[in-house]
Amino acid sequence: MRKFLLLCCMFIGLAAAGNAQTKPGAKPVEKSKELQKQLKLTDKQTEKIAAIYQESSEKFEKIKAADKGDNTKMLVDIKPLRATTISNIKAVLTKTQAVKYDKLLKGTKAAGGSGWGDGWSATNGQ
Amino acid sequence: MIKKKITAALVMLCGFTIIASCQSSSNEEMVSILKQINKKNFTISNPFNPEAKLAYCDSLLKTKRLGKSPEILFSKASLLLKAGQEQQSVNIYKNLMDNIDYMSTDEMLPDQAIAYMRLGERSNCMLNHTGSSCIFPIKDDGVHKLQTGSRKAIDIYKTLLKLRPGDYESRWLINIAYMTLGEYPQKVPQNVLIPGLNIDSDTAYQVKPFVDVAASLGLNINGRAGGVIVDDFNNDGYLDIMTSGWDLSDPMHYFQNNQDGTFSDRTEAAGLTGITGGLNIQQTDYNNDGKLDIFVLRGAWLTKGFGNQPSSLLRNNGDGTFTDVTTISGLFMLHPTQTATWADFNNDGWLDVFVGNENSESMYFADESTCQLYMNNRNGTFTNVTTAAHCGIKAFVKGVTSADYDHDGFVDVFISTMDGHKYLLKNKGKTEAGVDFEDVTAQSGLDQIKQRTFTTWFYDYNNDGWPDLMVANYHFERTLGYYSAAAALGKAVPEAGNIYLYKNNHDGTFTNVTKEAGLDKVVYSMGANFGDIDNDGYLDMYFGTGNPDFRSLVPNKFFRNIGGKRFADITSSSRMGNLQKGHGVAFADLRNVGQQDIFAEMGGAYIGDSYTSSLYMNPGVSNNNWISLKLNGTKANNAAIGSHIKLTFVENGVKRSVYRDVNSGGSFGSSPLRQEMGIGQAKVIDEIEIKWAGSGAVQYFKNVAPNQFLNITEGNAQYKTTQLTKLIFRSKSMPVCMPMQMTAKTN
Repeated sequence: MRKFLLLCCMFIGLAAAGNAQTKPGAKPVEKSKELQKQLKLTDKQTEKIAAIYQESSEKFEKIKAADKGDNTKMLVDIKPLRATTISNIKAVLTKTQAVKYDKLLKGTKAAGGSGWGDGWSATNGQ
Repeated sequence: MIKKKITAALVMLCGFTIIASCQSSSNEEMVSILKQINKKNFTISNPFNPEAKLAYCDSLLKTKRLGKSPEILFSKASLLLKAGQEQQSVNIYKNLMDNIDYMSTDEMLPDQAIAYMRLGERSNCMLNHTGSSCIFPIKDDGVHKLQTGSRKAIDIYKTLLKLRPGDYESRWLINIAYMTLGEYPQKVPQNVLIPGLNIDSDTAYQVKPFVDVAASLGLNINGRAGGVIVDDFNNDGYLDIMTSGWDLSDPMHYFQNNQDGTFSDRTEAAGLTGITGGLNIQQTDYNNDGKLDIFVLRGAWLTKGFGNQPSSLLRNNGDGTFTDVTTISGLFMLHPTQTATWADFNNDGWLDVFVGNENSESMYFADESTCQLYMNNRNGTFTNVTTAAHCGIKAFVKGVTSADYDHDGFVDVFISTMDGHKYLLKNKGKTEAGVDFEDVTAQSGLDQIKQRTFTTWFYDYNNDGWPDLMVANYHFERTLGYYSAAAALGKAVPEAGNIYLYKNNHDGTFTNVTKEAGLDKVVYSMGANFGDIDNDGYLDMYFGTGNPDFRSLVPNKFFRNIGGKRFADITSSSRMGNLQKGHGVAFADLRNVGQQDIFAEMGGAYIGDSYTSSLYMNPGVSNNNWISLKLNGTKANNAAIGSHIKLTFVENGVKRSVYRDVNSGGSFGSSPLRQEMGIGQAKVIDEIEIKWAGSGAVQYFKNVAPNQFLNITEGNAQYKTTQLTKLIFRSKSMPVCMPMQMTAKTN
């Protein structure tokens, strides 16, 4: 399966589908455990991050209710919450973990796209 | 690595040869080769094969672990768009959006928005196509009747622009989306409005609208990117149309002119069934038999070896059929290409061919493809003399063109590349070793452009008797709407998509006059050509534009030559700003009325980006006079390619000349070799001067009446007049006319 995923990444050039490092909709504890695997967090760090996720999750529920199913509006409204969550998580991480976390957060897509879709690469053509 | 590739190519060639020996005809041999390559290329590592990737995605989604993977679903949605399944794509994006949480980002929004835009295009421009569909600026019949797609896209672009106010891509696309609803500019929120998109800046030179008559005539082939030739393939004097599509499953089409304003699809009868693929096609007469043959160029853009496809030489048998003679002529090669130029490089009276191949070594793949020069052996075969002629340029070549730029009697070559380098190869003339070239790019001043370029041609835009050079910028790092928006908002990215125009200084050098000529505009030309739509003797230009990305929704561009001094943008007034992807373009007087119509092969890289080709009928831009010249070489090559024509006449008391070289025009799209030349208001042509290719022999014809079709044979002091019926395009039941409301509105 790992080979499958690798191949998948190679041919599709997977873009972040709206969630940089954890599965959307996952519970705070699940999210923190996912991050633990990716960043090699200690149990204590994982626990702290689960609490951060829990707090953000509660705030998100309020935004969700206020935006009444308007998902595009919600994407705008959650922007500050996402930023705060990231900032709080980084405060728990070591310097090395924070660098790795930044990489996880960074989407694979270039801003605005290269214009080539998944075809000929303008960047590689240099 | 290179050894491996050479071995693979040899094995492939051997395999093909074995197959060839088992086939009953060379057409079947080529059909079989193309089928094999097509089958081999159906794989996820082929950069332009979304169908294989889609199948792979589906297989992953069937697994337990990845069944609901948002990443795979996201990829699937994007692939579905390329496969032309917009509604399914939109559904997946919606589903993904319904499951966002507080760690989600806005990265998916541009993809979701363009999926809705494409849904709108599918429901309206494609399924309910009219001649105004997707014509920028969109109005009248082009306004979407089914508005869901554009409305949803607008909602998303509004959000995106709130999140990223400086996002020019979204700003361009939201303005287009409002246009599709007939609500531009009045309903576009002020903070995102791009003003002035619906008018040509050069109001003084507007033209009457051209009307797309392809659908009425049955010429509206729906397909991917491809080429076009308009010329007389059956020697009846009437112009026929040949088209191709770049994918190896895309058929050619041969539309024969019925001499009554209609066309018949004779593809099968011509033996062209199964001769698939070819981003570009060209006419030639390689065997000097007076019957136009076809050269099909394949494999373009396909890196990683997928573009190692043979080009095809199709011999015209003179009985309505064509035979693939690629192998026996010695032109069988496996290199990706879409550009070649046929010329008599050694002045022996036979056409040679210089092929520009795409070398992608710079993209970390070993690649031995170089440009190739094949000299005509005068017996139906060619010899590859690339090395001896010092012209094996190794680059990602996107355009080649030829002309005698220095008037030394030998045809030179210019090469446009995606690597950024340009090459002007000066033909050193006959040497002991044969034809030989010298790279004079630096001396000529053409090495100043460092950006990627695509389409190119030599032409005499200012009628000074010397070939000037057009080469189109194709350098981008974002989708093309970004550059269009930036320019419209007064923040143009320097050189982005510009049409570089180089004036010949008559001393072996060129001067960049792009800005003075008004061509420092965002165009991003792919297929393009030139002609004289108003018969003033000055050459106008039409550019098919775009790139593979769906978000690169930019109009084809049309420029009118104003007295050889500058070019006026007539895109809006001509109603030819087709937003879909533009490829092969040909200018031709298909109706024998002295007005050039324009055929544009439309459609993008993916099956989901297929689009209807257009034949834009010239509404009669002027009442100027003209002459049509069909030249037949005897010592020169029979098609007279490379011969120089000079018309001298007096117009409004002023004596002037119009110059033209015999060729099919630009590097992507093929106009007739019959030269259709405007002479303004002149009532008589005082002198026609023909300098024949090869021999350089000169002939003169005095006091020639305009508005007729002349057939001139080298060495014959008398020309022949060809009587051709003036045609009115007819649909099955009625003539195709200019709509009254359209003609009434214009100057």
